[in-house]
Amino acid sequence: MASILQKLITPLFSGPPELPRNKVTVVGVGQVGMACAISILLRELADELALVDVMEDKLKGELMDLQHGSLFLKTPKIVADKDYSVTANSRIVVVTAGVRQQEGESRLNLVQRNVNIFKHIVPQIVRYSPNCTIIVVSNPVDVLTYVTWKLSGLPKHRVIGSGTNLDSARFRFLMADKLGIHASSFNGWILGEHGDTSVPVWSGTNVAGVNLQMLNPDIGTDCDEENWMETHKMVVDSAYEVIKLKGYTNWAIGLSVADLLESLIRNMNRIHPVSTMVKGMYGISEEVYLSLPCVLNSGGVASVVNMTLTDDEVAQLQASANTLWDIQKDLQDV
Amino acid sequence: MSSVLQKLISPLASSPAEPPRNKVTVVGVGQVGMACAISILLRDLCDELALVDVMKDRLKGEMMDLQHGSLFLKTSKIVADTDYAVTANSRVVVVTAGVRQQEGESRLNLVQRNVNVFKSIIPQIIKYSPNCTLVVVSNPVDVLTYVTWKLSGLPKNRVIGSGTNLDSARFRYLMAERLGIHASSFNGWVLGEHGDTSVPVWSGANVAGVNLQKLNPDIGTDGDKEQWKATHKAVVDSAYEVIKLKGYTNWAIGLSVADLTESIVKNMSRVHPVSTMVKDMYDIGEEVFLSLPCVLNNTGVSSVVNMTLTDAEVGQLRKSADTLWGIQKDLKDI
Repeated sequence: MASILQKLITPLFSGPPELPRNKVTVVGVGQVGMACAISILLRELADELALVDVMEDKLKGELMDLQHGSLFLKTPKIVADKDYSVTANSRIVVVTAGVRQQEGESRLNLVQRNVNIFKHIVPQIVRYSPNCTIIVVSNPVDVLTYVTWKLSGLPKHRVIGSGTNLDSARFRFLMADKLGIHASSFNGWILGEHGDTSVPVWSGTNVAGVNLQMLNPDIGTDCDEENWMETHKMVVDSAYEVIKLKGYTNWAIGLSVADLLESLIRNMNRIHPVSTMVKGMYGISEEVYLSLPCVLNSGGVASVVNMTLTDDEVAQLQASANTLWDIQKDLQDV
Repeated sequence: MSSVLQKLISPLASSPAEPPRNKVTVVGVGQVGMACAISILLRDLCDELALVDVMKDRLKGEMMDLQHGSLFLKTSKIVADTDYAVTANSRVVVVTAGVRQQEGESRLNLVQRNVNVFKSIIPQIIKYSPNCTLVVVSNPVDVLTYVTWKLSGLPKNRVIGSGTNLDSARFRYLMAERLGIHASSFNGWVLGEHGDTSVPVWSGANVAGVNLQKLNPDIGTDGDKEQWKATHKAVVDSAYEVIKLKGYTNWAIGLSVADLTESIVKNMSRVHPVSTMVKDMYDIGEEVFLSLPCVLNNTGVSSVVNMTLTDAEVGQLRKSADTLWGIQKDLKDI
């Protein structure tokens, strides 16, 4: 007797299913990975989503919970496995795996612990998706993006660190809030290290093209009566503060990763502050990753915008580069 | 010397800020509450989002984390406080507060623990948003929707339980998977109690109007060779299974709540299976809340669809009603 499926549906096409065109993999199903996943799903960026992690039960639970929401989503295939074959043919792979900052711990402290994890992860990613673009989120992101680039063998434009995309988003929110406008109407860039030594480019901050430094030449300095530099300090402290209050951060980073993904998948050529290989720029002679304004499209980092930075800002970038290289040079087997 | 703000921006309107038109409050910032919040934010459903909880630090941390994502969102005001004054003028209030099922614990066991929590929450919600629509999510949802209705003094159309909206979504996903189609193309309703005794209305299950029971008259019975009944069992077991694997469920329920919120806030009059006051329907003599297909719009539940149920299905609904009344009659002080 024929089944319901046979009675109901007559296949027309009997070839193999087509490969996904916009497959996204998220490595790591902790709070950050899942925030990335739900943001990507709700922004309808992928036609297939793959999740990978080492914790099998948690991975399966997260997979099921997302699949149960399928009625409300436009991503018809959500898969998960600890075996990386499930990630095959991904356009973009978001790496959130690794250990996270404890309360009061700086990102740089995490480094060797996470390098060891990446040695296992990155080659597998590239094996199954040799043409992908990798977005590294795990901290310390600049160092780990360098590590990922080295371990992957991919060209530098295909390996991106989420970098100061989030710092800049926080900066724009906090600055805009003081001015009573929406974050998207405040233009401001934070570059360099995603961390304690990030560089707010005060000379470029503007609203509707009106340069804030021209309105207040002391902006960002210690002698500024309005103490705008405090806003940048709040950005640097943000993660520590949220971690102290709720144990981790996830929503803002998830939203910012989906934002980057949108530019990559939709080939938009939007400019984002993300971590890229900056050797040869601003007098930096080492192979370090730092955030600069990058044009992102389906090829990855298509180009870098040449900022007009003050000598002091350049010096800060160089100082970040030195700090990062100091750590990188001691890493084993990378 | 004037500030940057004064130089940059000249106010035009000096009237007080307008009250929000589509404010949504989420009570409870646990995993479910935050999944509701991020789904509502990513679907651009509200112009203001308020969060309330008793845990001050976590609440502040969650609020900050969402605010830091403002650049990527269209909800310009996100607020939070332990004081319910922050929830004033809400259109929709989503209640996720309370304790959740432990591994293996049934929803009905949670009841008295959660009734006590609700006694402190509901009157405060009403005090600040007397015209809101309440969406109750906390479990056991049908009992707690009844409790909320009693404590709130609102008319019954304004108090909705998330009910079997999620069960139906899971059902449609699992059934559709077996047929190789998208969940949204499978029509099927799970009604009654959100829990172990939910009722799959097999007589209505159809794809493109083709009734599945006509194709297979044994569907949903024990004698069915294709064992379609196992799919409904998988729906009932879903929550327990995901809880066992990852400790809780949140994504699917968050997405389903955003779906309900959309119908209410956009005045869509879509039909959803949600928990409503069913006294005098199907010969139910008590004031219980069970899920039936309800038309949702900006008045809340504007009407209920009269199902053509089999005697067995009506029997199951009445049995659910009896079980629920058995619990409700013993609740204190509501």
